[in-house]
Amino acid sequence: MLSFGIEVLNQGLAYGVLAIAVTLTYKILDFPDLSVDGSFPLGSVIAAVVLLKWGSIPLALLLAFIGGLGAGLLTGFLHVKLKISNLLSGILVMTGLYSINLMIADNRSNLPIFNVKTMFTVGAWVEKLPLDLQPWVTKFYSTLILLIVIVLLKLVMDWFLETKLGFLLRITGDNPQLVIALGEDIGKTKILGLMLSNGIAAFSGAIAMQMFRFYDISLGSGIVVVGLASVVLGTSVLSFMKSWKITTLVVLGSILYRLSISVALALKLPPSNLKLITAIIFILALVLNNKELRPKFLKGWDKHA
Amino acid sequence: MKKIITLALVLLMLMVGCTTAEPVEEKEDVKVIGVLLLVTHPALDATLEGMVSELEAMGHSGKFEIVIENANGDAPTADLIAKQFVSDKVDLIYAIATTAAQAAFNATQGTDIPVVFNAVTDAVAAGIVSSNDAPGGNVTGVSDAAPLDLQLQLIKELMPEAKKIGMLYNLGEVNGLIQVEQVQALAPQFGLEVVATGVTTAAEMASAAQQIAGEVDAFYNITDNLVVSNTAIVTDKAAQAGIPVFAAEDGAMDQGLLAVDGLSYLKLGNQAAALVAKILFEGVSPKDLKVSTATETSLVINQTIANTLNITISDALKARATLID
Repeated sequence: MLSFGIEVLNQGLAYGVLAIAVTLTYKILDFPDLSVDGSFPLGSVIAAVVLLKWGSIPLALLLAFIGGLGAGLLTGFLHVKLKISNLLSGILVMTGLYSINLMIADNRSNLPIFNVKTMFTVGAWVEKLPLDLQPWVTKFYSTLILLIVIVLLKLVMDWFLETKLGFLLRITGDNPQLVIALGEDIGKTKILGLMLSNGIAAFSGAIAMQMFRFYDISLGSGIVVVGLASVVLGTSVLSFMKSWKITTLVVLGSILYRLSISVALALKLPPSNLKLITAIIFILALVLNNKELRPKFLKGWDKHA
Repeated sequence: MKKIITLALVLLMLMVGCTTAEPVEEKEDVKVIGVLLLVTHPALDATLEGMVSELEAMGHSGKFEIVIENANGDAPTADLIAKQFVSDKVDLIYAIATTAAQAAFNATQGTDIPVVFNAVTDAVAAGIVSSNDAPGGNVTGVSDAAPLDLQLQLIKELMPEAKKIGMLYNLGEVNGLIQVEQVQALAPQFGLEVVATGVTTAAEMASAAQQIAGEVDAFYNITDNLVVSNTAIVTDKAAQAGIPVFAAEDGAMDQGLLAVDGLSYLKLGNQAAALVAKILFEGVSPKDLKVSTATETSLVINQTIANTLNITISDALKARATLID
């Protein structure tokens, strides 16, 4: 049972990277970016192809990230320069990326990478460890790698949001007038935020793909909702943790989301209802998040924290 | 105080999450088969039904227990289910459809849990066996690769003048492209040319079918989930253009197909049962069990449609076909 709990945790962490990406656009930039549905599998397919061709894990992750930056740049360009609405820009990029992703994989919608080393492959060094330690290291290796990645990413994001550029991103979402008053280019800031968000989403796709050890084009479908559900769960259910940074909250939200899915599975709820359940969890979390609608017995949450 | 209550609630949720699905009870001599179904779909369900009924027909009823989990088409969920089966230590995973088989393969690496798959068109391309004759690992199963040469031959027998056949396939499904490529490779032997179009939705299928209908002599529907589910769209456009639709699988015969010389997923399920029985009850290792393919096909022809389209059914075909109206 423990090992199954670990798997839920691992998925939660891998998709926690996505939650950070989605936070950047939805929460910080106030931009409902749907292009993530395309950039997440873009990262997966780039990483799969790179691993199959050259076998280099750092290169796979780097190129996935860069690919995501490109996708974000495109969304930003459509919205800022061509004046297409934010929702539509995202939809257009997402739709276009479907074909691009197929092209990258040479028109295949599924690529297995079972025979190559991934970031979760335990190296030969494990055999040099004391015997009683080996099974533990093997068991928790993926979790350890994921924790390192997510903590690093979180710290970098926290630092970035405190820099002048990060500050600009935040006020672009909160108070666009202020950005203009400061004499800064609001369009550029938006493009930058979208690039970063899609880059991280693609990075998340690359990580998740290595965990499943195959790429499938369906990995991206509805991923925005998954990311968004994590953000909402994290920031509402855990809203009493006022001192915790949003980056921490959304990663925990992602773990909570995976947990609720596995609970739904364990309760033998008909899988055809899973999407409905996701929507209901989502609505509950949103209601919890809304101070006016919050049920009376929960009124004390904000004051208390 | 409230903070503590909430924390306790969160912890409770975590614990509920970690105790998902009570470990399958270890009973004497009862083998637990974890069924990982990618999505329910008449053909895929038939592979399960066929497997279970055949195991019972072989006299193994009471000796096995089935735990069915459906991933609802979602790869991360399939991954989670497969890993749950592994942590529950099931005796065998029966994985239905490519993504489910890949998830089961990945989850069972480093364990000795055998996996039997079904409804995977090309297990080698899916990366789960090293070859169809010698799988080499803990995975074997049944391929639903349609006997494509039989289909093409049937088209030629019913329509000797046919030159071009139209094919639609789902861009998002690996099985589709594989079959299109195979038909393209085979077609010249039968003097046929393939016009193939990839689509992503049912709506696109309608316009693609309409477009192709004008330039081909017949449609051939492959065992692609999107195409099979929307057979009626193709038959509708084909009827307007006055051309027939052939298919690889007889599940949609009532939706206006002219003829099928193809697979029965129920029989594929029976074939899987043979593999499952050998692994569970005879102790044969999956690495020595060949991936099996459809051994027999059944020919079904719709007489009414043949008459409408002025297609004559030869006596030789009549002799071995099931004719329907």
